[in-house]
Amino acid sequence: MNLLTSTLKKPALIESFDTRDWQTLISQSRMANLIGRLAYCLLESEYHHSIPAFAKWQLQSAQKVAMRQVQQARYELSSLAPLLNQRSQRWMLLKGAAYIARDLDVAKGRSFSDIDILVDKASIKRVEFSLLGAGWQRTQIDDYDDRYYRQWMHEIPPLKHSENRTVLDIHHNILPLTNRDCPEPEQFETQEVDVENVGTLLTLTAEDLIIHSACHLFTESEFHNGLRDLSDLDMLFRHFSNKAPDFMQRVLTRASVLGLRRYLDLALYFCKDLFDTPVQTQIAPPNTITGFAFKHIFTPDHRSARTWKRHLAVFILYWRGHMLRMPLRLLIPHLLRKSLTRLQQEKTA
Amino acid sequence: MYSHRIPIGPFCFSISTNIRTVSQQVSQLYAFHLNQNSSDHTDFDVQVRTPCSHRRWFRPQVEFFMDEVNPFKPLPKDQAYPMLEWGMNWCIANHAHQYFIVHAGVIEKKGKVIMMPATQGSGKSTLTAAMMLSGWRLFSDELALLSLESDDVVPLARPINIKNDAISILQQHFSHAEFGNIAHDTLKGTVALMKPSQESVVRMHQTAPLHCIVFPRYVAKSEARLTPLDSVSAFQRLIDNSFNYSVLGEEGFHKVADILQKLPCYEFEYSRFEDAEATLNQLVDEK
Repeated sequence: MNLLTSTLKKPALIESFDTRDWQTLISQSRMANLIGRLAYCLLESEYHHSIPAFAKWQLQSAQKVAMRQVQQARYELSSLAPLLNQRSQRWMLLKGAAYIARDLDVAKGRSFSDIDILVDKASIKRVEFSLLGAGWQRTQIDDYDDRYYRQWMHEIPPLKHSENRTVLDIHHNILPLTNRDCPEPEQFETQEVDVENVGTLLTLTAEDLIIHSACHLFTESEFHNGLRDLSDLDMLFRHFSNKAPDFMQRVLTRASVLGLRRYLDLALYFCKDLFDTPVQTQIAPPNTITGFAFKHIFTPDHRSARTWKRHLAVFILYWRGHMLRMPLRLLIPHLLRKSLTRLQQEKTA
Repeated sequence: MYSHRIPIGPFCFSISTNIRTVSQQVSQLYAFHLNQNSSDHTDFDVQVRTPCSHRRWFRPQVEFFMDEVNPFKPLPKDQAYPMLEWGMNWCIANHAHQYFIVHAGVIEKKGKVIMMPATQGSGKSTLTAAMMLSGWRLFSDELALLSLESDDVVPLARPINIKNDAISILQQHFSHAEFGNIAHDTLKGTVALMKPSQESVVRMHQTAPLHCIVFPRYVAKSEARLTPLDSVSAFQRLIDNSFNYSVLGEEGFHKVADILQKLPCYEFEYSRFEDAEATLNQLVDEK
């Protein structure tokens, strides 16, 4: 197993690390966007005395960057909330922003770049226009991509803030409309949270929050943050299970109701497999190819942990993600078009 | 591949490149550093290399990596060495948040450090280089590393990035100035790097307290003139020139407030090196 996953799972390991181990650990965590989480995990552990000075400053710096990102996100929410309250019928925070609003441990040190929100579909145009008037800009994408997003996807093209470069992803559903499991967004249950200096915001309930994050991760086709997102799920499962012993059962039942059980099963299976998440229920393993691909994609993308298996996993999951996203009759023309555009760009570059 | 391990102030860089001229310039400009003991760990593992693609032969380019992070777009191959130095600045400015980092020239004399924050094109590097060549100890021409635990500034003693006309002016003025190769038509014009003085490198682990802040500005044919600057204006200018004020948050605010409560700030107009040096000497001579 790679050093990063082992260390996150068992911080005591650092007591026997040599210089080279530390260097590998820092590099792997940086490439996996997990250096902030690793920093909290190690600096707050009882083993923090074993961290050598050259690793400590890197971790402390990463912690400072992560703290600032959380602060920035809170600030962003305080300016977004009034506008969204006014312009939409219902909106809620998803993923990282929801973790921050709910003040969950998983938010501590989590690298954070996008704010994800879910807005009711009827309000989305109005919301987008208001945001454009409030300092947010469309990212530069071509007309084809713009139409692709709006016609088939569960979100509109991301908006970027003109000053602080925060990216805002506005979803109107949690899965692409072309995914066969795509649920009705109204089915999701929400919970209010009070955020200091911002007010009352909506997030998904604990169960639906986890189900959404699992759906998001296990329908991806690119996994730059794969290991981080799996580690998020591990922390979320642990957190909510500690608070309510029957949580696992509740989330399984809920996923079945929503028809999203297969994504939750994948999440539970790999959390247990890679992070020893305490899951009492027996979860059926995925098929051989999916199992192989995910096992190897949930590794740091760094030369110290990269094997041919990871390269193969990237390839398999790219196709898996696209096949899940849309039926072949849409997918083939789409990918053909994308490769042609890429060829043209290379020619002109 | 050519590899070098170089202790640079508080950091240890591991530099590798597949370009011979880059390696040669590293050996030349960091010759004094290479004589220093280096630690067994690496803080920044950096590479400048030509990519393995058709671009190797057709309009060759270079890329910079910190470990496997590639923060910049490729540049033409003849800018490989300046790119390495810019990349090293990027490494420090974006990761070393144990310091308050200011974009500034930093020099020391009599155990007193003068920090000269300034924007691109104000002549900060040229002035810093001229002072080093006149016997001041070089801390840095780009990055002032201010300790968050004390009043000390931490030296880097790296080669100084000199641009355009300043290269020949310094060569004419100081016969002992030693430069690496000159890169033409870079993003920042013509660029060459000046070797740091031996004394600066040998003493690069000796920190010293900040004595005052000087905002320099080259004004042709002017007399060297210091004008005291009020702390409110200085505050704004200091954070405008800082790389990590926003990352440090409250810690950064307290650091800046602390500096400005204790130390004087000046605006500094100059044109001739001799006058400039005499004026800066007065600052460190005062009781």
